Amino acid sequence: MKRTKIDIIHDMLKAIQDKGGKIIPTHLLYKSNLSHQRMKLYLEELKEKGMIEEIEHKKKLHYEITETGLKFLQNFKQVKEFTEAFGLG
Amino acid sequence: MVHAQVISPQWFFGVDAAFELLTAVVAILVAITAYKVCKITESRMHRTFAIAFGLLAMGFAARGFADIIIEQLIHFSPQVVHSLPGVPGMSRTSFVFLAGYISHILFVLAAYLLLVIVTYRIKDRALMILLFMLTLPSLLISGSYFLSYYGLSLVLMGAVTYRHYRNCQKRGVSSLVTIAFGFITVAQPNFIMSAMNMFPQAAKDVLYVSGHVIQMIGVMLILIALLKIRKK
Repeated sequence: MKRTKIDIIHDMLKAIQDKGGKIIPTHLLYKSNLSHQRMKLYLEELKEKGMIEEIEHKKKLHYEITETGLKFLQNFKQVKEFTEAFGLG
Repeated sequence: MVHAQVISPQWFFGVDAAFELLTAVVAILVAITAYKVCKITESRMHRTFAIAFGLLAMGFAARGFADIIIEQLIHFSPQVVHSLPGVPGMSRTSFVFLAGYISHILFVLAAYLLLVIVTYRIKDRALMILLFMLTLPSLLISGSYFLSYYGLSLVLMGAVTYRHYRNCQKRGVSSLVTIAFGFITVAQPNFIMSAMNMFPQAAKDVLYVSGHVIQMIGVMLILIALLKIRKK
């Protein structure tokens, strides 16, 4: 079944969380199963929404999950159900 | 002299107001949940959806309270003309009717328009403005606010239901909300016919009451869908 936008956001945030809260772009690309172009768009959106932040760790670019991102993961099931039931996905 | 147009049969007095207030409560619950989801997702769609249901809540609350006041005035002291001080030719009943029903019509139509915008993912502001410009003047120039309101509601909710139905088919997700919107759509022709003069009063009463009952079933289905989500 095709992943919805909210599923993709969840998968990306979950990948970051599973890596201890921060991840390098290559790993995120692999884990989120997206094309480079699409991942860039999603990263921009996640940054805009304050769910991730760009940081430099050991001289490498990392994406770090924020409090907002963690809150999204906690409430994902309810958010997904509501979004799908009311056709907002 | 402005007259209050009470289209509800006397024996249904109070029940219609209760249905409207219950609809307002369900709408506010949906609006609160959508707002909470919006705070998590930061999504514009959820925010617009929350505003739409907030407007629905205000619209139905306005009509519910107006119905309660009008029915109290008409039912318990029909012989008294409750004139409004300082406004010649306007009785208190007519004032409550105008304020309550016009607020209801404007809020509910605005809510349905927002639901169309959200459901069809309309992002073009010019198109949004065009939708509002097409809807509101057709209401104002109409000879009957009720007929125009129910007609526009039928078209707008019909469009929302159709899109939901197509989404359900495509994604294979739960269709409870689609059925709910379908009930609300199907209720509108009953209201339209009850506001027309071509039917005898008894038939108009049956149409008006059945419209309310069908709409209420739709609202209850939305409540069930919401409770199922909140339980998870």
